[in-house]
Amino acid sequence: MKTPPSNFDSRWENLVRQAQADAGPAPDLPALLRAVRQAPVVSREGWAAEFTALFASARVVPACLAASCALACFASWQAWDSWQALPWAQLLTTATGGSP
Amino acid sequence: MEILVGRHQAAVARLLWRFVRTKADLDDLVQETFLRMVRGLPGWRAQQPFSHWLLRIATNTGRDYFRRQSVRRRWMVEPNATESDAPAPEAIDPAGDPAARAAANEVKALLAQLSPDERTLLTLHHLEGWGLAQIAAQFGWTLTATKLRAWRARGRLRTLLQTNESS
Repeated sequence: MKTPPSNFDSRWENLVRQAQADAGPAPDLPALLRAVRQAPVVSREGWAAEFTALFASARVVPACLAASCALACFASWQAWDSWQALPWAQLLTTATGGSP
Repeated sequence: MEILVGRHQAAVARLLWRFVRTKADLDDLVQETFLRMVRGLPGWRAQQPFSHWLLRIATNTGRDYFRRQSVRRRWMVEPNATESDAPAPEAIDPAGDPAARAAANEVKALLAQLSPDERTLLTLHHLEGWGLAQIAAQFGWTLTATKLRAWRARGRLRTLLQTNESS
């Protein structure tokens, strides 16, 4: 069963319906135009601003995560590469008796 | 720039009138909106209609106005004084429909006792007729959070209205 509208609902709806019909005064157009004319128009900066925007606060965390992942990958690759070279270095050391 | 102002000032003023009670405040907010527009113009992307973008600025301006009022009220010397104590604006700006103006003032005075976000939400929802989904998209809230906020605000409003009636 649907609840009947309360006293609050009917009073509120009535108030709102009346309030919606209220039309405000027109703004002071000459003063507005004067203010807009005096406002400095910021021209768009070049690629530097676009590049800086890439590191805006909302993008800082994902950017740091991506950079950390890239660094971890690079470091792992370097370590693996060095590990592969170790037996060769050992062999070379043995063959030359330790002198370069 | 002047063409833009001339074309959109009526819509902006109509929206912002829901947030204020006096012409002086309306002029201030309309001016602030267009100044923000001028500053933000280089960042405007043509993917969204200009009027939507501008009305978004206007609603944010209105919300900031509510926030400023809330802070001012918190730090006022007389904590019981509210906006309803302000002088009647009718003396300066005669209304076309006095009954509608009186009802609007009553609604605005009631909404003034809510938090700035709730006040913005109910102002846009009840006085401007915006849907909750539209309001949620406007402020970057989730629809569920917006519904919950509206429900809580209505509950608070109900209490306020009952208190007003009983006193």
